[in-house]
Amino acid sequence: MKELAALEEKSEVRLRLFSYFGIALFLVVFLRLWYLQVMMGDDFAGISEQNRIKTVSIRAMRGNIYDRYGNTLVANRPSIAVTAVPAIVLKNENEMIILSDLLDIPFDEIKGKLEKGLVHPLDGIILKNSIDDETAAKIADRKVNLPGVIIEPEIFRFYPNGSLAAHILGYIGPISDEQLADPKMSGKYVSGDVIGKSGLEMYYESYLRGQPGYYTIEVNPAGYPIRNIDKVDSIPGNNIHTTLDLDMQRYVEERLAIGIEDIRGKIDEKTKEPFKATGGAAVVLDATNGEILAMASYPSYDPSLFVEGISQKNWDMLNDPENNYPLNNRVIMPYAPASTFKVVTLLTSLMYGIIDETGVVICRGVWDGLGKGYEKYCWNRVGHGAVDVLRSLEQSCDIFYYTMGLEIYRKRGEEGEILQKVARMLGFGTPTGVDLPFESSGRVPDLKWKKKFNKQNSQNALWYAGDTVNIAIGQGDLLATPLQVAELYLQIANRGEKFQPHFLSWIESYDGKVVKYYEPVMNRPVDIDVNLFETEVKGLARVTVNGTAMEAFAGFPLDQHPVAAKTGTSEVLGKQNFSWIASFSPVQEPKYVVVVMVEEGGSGGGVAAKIARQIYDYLYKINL
Amino acid sequence: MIMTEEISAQAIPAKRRFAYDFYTLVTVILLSLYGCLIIYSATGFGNIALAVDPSYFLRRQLIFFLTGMIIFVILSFFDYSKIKRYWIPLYLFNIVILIFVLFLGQSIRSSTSWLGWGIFKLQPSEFAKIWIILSYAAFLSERKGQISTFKDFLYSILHFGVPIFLIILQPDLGTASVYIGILLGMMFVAGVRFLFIGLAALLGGLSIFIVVRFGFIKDYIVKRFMVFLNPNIDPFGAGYNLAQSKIAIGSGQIYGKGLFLGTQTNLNYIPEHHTDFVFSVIGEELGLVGAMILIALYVVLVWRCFFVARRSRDLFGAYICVGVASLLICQSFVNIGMTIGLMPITGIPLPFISAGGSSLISFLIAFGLVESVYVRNRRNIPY
Repeated sequence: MKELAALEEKSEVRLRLFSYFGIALFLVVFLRLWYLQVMMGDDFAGISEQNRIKTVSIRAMRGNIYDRYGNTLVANRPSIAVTAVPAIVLKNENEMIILSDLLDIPFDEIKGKLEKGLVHPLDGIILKNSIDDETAAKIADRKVNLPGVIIEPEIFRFYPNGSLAAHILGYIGPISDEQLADPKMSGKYVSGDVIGKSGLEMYYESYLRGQPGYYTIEVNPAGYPIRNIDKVDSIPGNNIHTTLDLDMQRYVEERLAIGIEDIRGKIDEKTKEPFKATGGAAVVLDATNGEILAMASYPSYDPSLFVEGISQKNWDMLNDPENNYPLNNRVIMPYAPASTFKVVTLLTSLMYGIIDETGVVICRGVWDGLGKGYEKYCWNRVGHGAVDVLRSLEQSCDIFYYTMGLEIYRKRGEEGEILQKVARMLGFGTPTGVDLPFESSGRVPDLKWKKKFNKQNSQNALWYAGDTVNIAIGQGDLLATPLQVAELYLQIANRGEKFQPHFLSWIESYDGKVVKYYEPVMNRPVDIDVNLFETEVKGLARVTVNGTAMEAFAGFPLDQHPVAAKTGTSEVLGKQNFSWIASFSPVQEPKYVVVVMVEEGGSGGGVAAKIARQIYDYLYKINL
Repeated sequence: MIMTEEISAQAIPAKRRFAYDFYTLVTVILLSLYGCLIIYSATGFGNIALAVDPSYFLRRQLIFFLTGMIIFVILSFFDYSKIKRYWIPLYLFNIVILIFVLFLGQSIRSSTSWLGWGIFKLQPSEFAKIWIILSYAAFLSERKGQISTFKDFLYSILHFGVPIFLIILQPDLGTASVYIGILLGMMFVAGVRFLFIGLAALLGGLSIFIVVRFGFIKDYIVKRFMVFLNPNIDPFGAGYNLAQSKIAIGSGQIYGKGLFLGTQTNLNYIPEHHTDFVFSVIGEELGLVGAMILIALYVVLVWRCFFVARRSRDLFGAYICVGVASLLICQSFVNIGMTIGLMPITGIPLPFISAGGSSLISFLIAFGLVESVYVRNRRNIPY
């Protein structure tokens, strides 16, 4: 039969070669299949499952925040959002045109948003929040033309009182990439989750957030769910009950704002320019337990700007120096405490026997304790004459405290840095531990600090008498937050007993079970004699009657509601004076501690004392 | 030893013994039925039905199969050698049809390769593969089955070049590449010098470069090719098909997820999974075993083609078999290769398996002709 074949010998050989080639090709296919199905099979099986099964997290409703009487400070509101699946919608230009038309968003903006979302192409991107029913209906009507577009309810943070207590509540925003990278967060959060960025929202994030649930769904490649496989419900976050008093908060914020805005027009005697009054802070504590009843910082902002994602324009506005940084909570930022610190100097002097309750210093308006050529002056250039311990507080006589400061400095050989030691005992230099993030610890300068701070400049790395003298009147490098000052006066009011300032009252679960009560933190510095505090209280009580705050408290029924106070006027290089007052009332068995600070607002007896007086008017329901 | 054209099948007196290659018959039936089963799985079980009636594609395919089998049987008893003398009109007819398609055809997936009205639609380029095998086999047989001169080589290039050019215009690069495969296979057996092929490859490469460089080829084709070279560049665009197909096949592992149980395919992750990407259904649902059964059936057919070619007593018949073998090897490799990332993605059907009448029937015609060659040449030879 071979003889009958038509193909030549040469072609026969080639035919054979060709068949080998064919077999080789099939072998290549086999080897590739072996690689894909046998070697990589498990991997691909896993991918195939992931492909098919998608977990969609269900965000938990964030907990509410209430004031002490149960008034709502922060809650949630539902809103209808339009979301689009980038992988589908981006392919369809016509669809984007329809969406642009229906939602009134420029075409390019829609495209840009979706392209940004292509990292997770099957997860919906919110195109627009809070659409009205009419738009929702229009979109539903055109559903056929809009594959990959979903209308769904979203829940947003809601502030029924507007910007009230904005600094305390804080704002929320999408979790940042840095936070996501943090191993502590990454397991619990996914990209796009909302997280507290400041204030109580941030401090109590873990309580407020709740437990997200999830759907396990089978999806088709377009991202459409085909059927639900599993659902785990989310658990709403816990509600926070705070110590704040909504009405008082509103009042304090108002008075602070009005007080600051009023003084802005007035001329500063010292600089002969109108007061800049760039900002201020006020805080009201319950003296008996450290509860914060009101805390105001000026200027303020509207936290609802952040709810649906803050616009660049608004963000720039909030960070523009022209606007004096409204996001800052000035109550927990460091300032020179000025004369409000004199109580610490006096306490130190009494404790270490530098002066006793009968001691007197003569004030002639000028003091040369540091030597000729280094004269220092009292704020009252005329001089106060003979100044005893109580009068030193009443008149806030600087010469008295320079003298104390110098004596304290001289004792450093045998006793060490006693002024700093006492200041720290009373809470300076460490955060108060209030339940807010970003609290400053202030600064208590000492030799060690100075050495470190002036590493490059050995001349300044020494501790001079003048340093102690400056601290003695609350100036120099000493820094304290208004809240630390409030804490100091709370201790004086309680004759040494200290309560941590706090907002938390209790935390309850969404269904009303108490999760946690506030645990009081109370202590007293063991080294300080109660009687020394009594002496100070006596002096402070005279400040509103005859002293530096007399003018501000004119007409106030001090006989019924005695107020102990200390004003302060801090000098800041290149700026106008900062105005301070720290106070408590009543003098016996105090109920309230009030601290007010106004940046570049003049002397303490002026604007700060005036605002404090108005707050007491409110607290005692006078002239209202 | 050297049998010439003049001795045709008819010249030898017939013996009464009935000869039929049952290997080929049984294998094409098995392959076609395998195809029907897979098409049913691909179209009847998805959550997104491709047709209202889940058995729509199955019934269509069965009708194509029966039609094709009737043609197969008729052809197998038909004397193929009668076609030879008409090869020039056949060739010209083929060219005219392809031109017709270009101007009157319907576009499906940006490629104009369909011709027809209403429900009666054909893809002439599928059948054109058979016609060109026939005309080129006739061409070769007129040259004693050898391409020895450069002139013959140029004629061969021209013979295929015109239809390839028309098909590229559709544009259908997959089919064009199969044509090149057929040409190379047949020329190779016809003893072409490798120098010629090397020269042609150089020229071809250069012309491809020019065509791509100056934008004569549609963007999506270039993109597909880029994706083939680097599948990760665009996993949700052009690389999507390939990525999903590999996932489907890989996840089938050795024994598959079970017939009708493929999640990738049933959830419609793979587009065209009943046509061009049908191999991914086999890979996913029936695993390596199912894929190897398919390949084994192809190997049987290729073996039969070569078997029949070697025993054919006329060169026309021998080269028909060589051409059909080339077609089967090339088309199955290009198709399977694209689903597993060995070849760029092109739109050509998997022989005997992909849904669609033109493809299945044209392959049944091709093997009907191989059977005819067997029958004509076997009849007289005692075992």
